[in-house]
Amino acid sequence: MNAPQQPPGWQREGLATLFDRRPDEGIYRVDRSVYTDPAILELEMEHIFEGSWIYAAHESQIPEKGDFITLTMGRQPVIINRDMRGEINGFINACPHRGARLCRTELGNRKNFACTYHGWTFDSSGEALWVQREEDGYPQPLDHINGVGLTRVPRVESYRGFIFASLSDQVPTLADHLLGAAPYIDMLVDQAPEGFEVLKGYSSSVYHGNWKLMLENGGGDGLHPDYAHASLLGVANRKLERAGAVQTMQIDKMHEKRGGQWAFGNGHSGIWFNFPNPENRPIYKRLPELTEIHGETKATWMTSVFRNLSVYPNLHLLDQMATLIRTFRPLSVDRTEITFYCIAPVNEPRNERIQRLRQFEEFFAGSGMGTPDDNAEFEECQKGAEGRNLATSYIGFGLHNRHEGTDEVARSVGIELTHSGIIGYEGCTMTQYDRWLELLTPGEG
Amino acid sequence: MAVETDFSTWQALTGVLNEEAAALDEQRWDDWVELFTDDCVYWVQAWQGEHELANDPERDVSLIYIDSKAMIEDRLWRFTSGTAPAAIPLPRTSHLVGTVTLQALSDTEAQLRSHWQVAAYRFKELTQAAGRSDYTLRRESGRWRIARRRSILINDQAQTALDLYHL
Repeated sequence: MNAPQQPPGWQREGLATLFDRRPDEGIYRVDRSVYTDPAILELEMEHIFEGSWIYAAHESQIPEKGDFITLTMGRQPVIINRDMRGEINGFINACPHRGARLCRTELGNRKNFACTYHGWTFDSSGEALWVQREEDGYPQPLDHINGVGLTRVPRVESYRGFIFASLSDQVPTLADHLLGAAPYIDMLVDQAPEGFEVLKGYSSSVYHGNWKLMLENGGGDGLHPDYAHASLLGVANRKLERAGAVQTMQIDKMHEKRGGQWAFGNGHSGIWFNFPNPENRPIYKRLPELTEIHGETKATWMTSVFRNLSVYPNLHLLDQMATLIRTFRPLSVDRTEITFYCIAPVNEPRNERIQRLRQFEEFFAGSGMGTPDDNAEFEECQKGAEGRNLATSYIGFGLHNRHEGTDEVARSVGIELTHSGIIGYEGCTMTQYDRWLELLTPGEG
Repeated sequence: MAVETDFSTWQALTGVLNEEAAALDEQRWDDWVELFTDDCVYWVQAWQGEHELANDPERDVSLIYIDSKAMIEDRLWRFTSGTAPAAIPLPRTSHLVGTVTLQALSDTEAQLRSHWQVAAYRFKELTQAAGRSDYTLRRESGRWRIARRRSILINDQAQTALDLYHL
């Protein structure tokens, strides 16, 4: 193993000095070099994106035997497939021979993976089927599984259809990783008796900014909608009196509604508040039957509560303005790719589907009316972070009156918290950097 | 399959496409929005992998699906309101429309296909969009308007933002 060169100074003590962490005094400052320093991105690649659980894909993207998708985990090209036995696997997308990528499309169906460079061929579970002139070229038969078989991603596991993977085998169980995020995921998945599926038609967007700006925004920035999304709120108001318009879910003045922000542990976090117009959500029509199955409290949470879930480090599972998977990855210290997948209950009725699609398209993806404004602000934060005479961000909102442990609202829906606060609570960002420090300095915590 | 017509009809039809491009580039927003019928459909398809499109806007995701002039006006209001960070400032744009073919023509309706490249320039950076559109133009009180524009964008990965002025 070639361990990447650790830049001098970025041991645990060095990294901890990037934070002024005094939550009881309402002070939490983060040095903006976390957004700009390429040496820090190298550490993040090694210890976070290639060293711990990250979100990979949804099972509905590979429903049939032989289906595969390609993605990049950290810096590494990966295939996620469903093999001919129906098992889900992750492989490094590189031929064991000379390293050419085996799958070059975003998705497809293949019983075998044949390398187009020298012809080596592998079955869907990674075993080498054929090596060019094996008898001529090697003193003895090759080990087709452990010798020249595909290299597996060490850990690939699903939670309720969501596939997580780790390029390190030194990680806890997926349940120990997800903690309180798991029952929050349940509140989404349990809405659909036949499960959720990723809809056809996905897209991605790139912004010139550090990946953590996206993470922080979706993981708990309850302070930005009235400002960054003022234009979308304006559009929502324009449509209120228009007959036949698909109405927008109202997110203005979130802090005036019943709600809060939650830290689940391990860097996961969420925002919730009661929608003033839940009747405009497609799932709201399912309230009576969901009440029968799950009881009133949970059914109300499923249908009528804005819920953001951020699963550290690269997944936002949003069930709010629309319902979607948003996953993101660093391309460089100042460039990030976000991919958007609209999800829906399998066999959703037509009218509910149309409403769902229009709500998704209105806000999300680079072509929506919400995402571009977030992207633009991330880019401005990136530029601002170069203002080294103002070296830190002041991320202290609501820290002084936070609630430690699980609160009553969370308990009522079976969720464990590590801490929580009011709408806007920037402890959700603090919990991300607490996790960041833990992961970047393994064995030193 | 292209159909033939006389030169003045051809000019009137392609004039709508040319005016759409010019009005966007010159930020003559009122002129631009008047090119659309009240019930216009403005659809930009999403992709599913390299060469498959999401074809059903009532089952699949679209990049943009607008089914009224009012929704175009919403978008216009948003990006000119001064409240949308992605449009502060707006990019300069240059639309190049070409390879236009007339696919079908009646007294009141015409179908055209165009190919286009759009350059957008913001913060000293140039981004490009390229694609093609199938138009349905409808003749209303002597004037051809856009009743439907279905677009396919080959580079669907949005750089920061993708809005109507990029297309």
